[in-house]
Amino acid sequence: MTEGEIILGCKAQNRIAQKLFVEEYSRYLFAVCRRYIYDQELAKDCLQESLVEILQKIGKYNEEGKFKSWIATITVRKCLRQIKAIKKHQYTEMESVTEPGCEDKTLLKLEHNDVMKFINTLPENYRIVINMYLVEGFSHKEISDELGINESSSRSILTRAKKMINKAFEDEKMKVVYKNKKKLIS
Amino acid sequence: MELNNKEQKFKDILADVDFDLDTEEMWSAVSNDLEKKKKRRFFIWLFPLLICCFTLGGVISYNVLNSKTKTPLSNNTNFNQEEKNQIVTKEKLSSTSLEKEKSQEALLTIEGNAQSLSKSELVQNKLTGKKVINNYLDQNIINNSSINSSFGRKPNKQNNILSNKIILEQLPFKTIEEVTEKNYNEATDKNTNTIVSNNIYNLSNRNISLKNQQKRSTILTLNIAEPEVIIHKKRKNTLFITLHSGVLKNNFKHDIGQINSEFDSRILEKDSGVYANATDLSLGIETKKHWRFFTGISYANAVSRFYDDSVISSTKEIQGITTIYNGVETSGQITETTINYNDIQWYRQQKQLDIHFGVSKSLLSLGNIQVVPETVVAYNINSVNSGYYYEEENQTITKFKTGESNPYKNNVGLKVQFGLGIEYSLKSVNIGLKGIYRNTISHITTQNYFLPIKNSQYGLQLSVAYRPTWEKV
Repeated sequence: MTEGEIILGCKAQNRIAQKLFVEEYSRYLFAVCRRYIYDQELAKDCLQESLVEILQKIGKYNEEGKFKSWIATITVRKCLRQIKAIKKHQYTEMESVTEPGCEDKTLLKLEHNDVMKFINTLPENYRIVINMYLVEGFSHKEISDELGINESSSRSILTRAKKMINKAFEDEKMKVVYKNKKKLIS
Repeated sequence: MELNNKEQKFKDILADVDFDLDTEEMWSAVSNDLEKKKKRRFFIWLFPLLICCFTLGGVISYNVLNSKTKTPLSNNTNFNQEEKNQIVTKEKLSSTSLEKEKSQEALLTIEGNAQSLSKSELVQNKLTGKKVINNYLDQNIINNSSINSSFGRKPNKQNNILSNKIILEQLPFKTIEEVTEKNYNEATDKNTNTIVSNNIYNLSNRNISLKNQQKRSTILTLNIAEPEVIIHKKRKNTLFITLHSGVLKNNFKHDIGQINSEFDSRILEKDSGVYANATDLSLGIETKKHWRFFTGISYANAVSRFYDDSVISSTKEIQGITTIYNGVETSGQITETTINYNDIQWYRQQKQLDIHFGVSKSLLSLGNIQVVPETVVAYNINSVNSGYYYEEENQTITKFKTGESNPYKNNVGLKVQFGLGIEYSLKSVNIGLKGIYRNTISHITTQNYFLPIKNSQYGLQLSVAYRPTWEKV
């Protein structure tokens, strides 16, 4: 079954098409959820709710944009709602949010595991903005609307996050120099 | 924003990230959820459907009851004395003196005592297949006995000629001067809706002795082919249903004077009210004097926002790199600056359901436009709260969800509301715009909360009122 046939079947609320849709796209959407929500079980819950919402709203999909982007957007929004719902921290905790330290990050490599490790150590706002801007392709305006923050805040978070990426994933050459320095000092 | 190679690679890795997932398990969970939602959707629609049915049923039953009390006047030959007061009959005059004057074709006579006819009374008649409509009758009655005498008839105390004024709002009419016997007959023969009327029938010109000559008589004759009767009712108490919907701005006040601790009230400056929706549904009655009494339910969402986008920076000295030069160890010092960009935007919502009783009056009418002030007393049935509250001891704000413990009342009690609206009247629908101010009399927080809050709201609402039996006079 092609993507178009699956969409048509889901629009007609065909059970087989719906099942095929879940089999075809759930892994992709699960990855989206995991990028936003570190906890695996919560990410699964979020995915389940997203799939239900997509199957209910699929009639509104007008086939103008890419289907994958459309379903990813719904999933991202669901993840953001989920994050808001589980966020029960106090005001003082928000104040104590600081930029993560960079000591260990010099050892990170630009590989799957390290990237995920890095993203999960980032503060929530940073993680969300990086994902939304870099991966999902949201504009700062859209990010500010979704998160209820200023557009300028979104920009500054991204700038700082990019600095952190550049710092954490330093070049191999730089690392050697640093390591040598360390050895020298010790 | 451009990405360098590292950022681009980071992005690609992030986009291609993949995790294991049991799709079968996921499908079974999703299909269960879909089934549940289907059932839930039915119940969601059931409630508004029931409201619509009850409203419609109420309107229909009200109309049916109303129509039973207004029996159309017909077959007036069988009316009793009282009923005869509402009858106007047409009689073609046979008097030769009248025949001389071509302009005087028909004369309305009244069977019965017409003295009790008032301007506002409906005259609706069906006699010998003809009807007289739309008459608002003057109270000046001319005794017909003298006319009858001059016509060579037997004086009949019960036969009166009615001096009346005919109000014809829409139907075309001709004055008696324009109407000849010929065209009267034509009109009669053609059985058309032509109204032959006049506003001058000066009896004194005809040498007829009349008791009340000061009023000119007005004659209306009408042939109507269709048995339909246009009824102009006098204004009476009218039922109406109104739906108001709009936005209200939450306007609250922290009672700082009651804080006994050293709570830093500056934090409250970041708290402000915002606009949220409010909807009222009312059922009421409008009296003849344009007073409206109504009752119904109101829903309002009182929302406030805690917004903090401040930047807090702090510096501290930390140990830096230690250098050894010529055997001398020097420890370096680094100044570490931590900058916190606060980006906090929390909302406190109080979803309130009230019952209300109100009174309003149409004070100023400019054509179809009316100005209507109102006063309403509402009683809160239930409030559902979510959002945040302040903690005295730790000087913090705590978030809470619906159902979790919080210091806000679930029933805030009595409220008063004042409003001023402008309404535009259509046939049976009024549309309007209303500005309102609503004040909750008691505090919205519980007694043991350290920071009492008073609440009020103001805003604008659009309104649609349906009046099943309303007609303009």
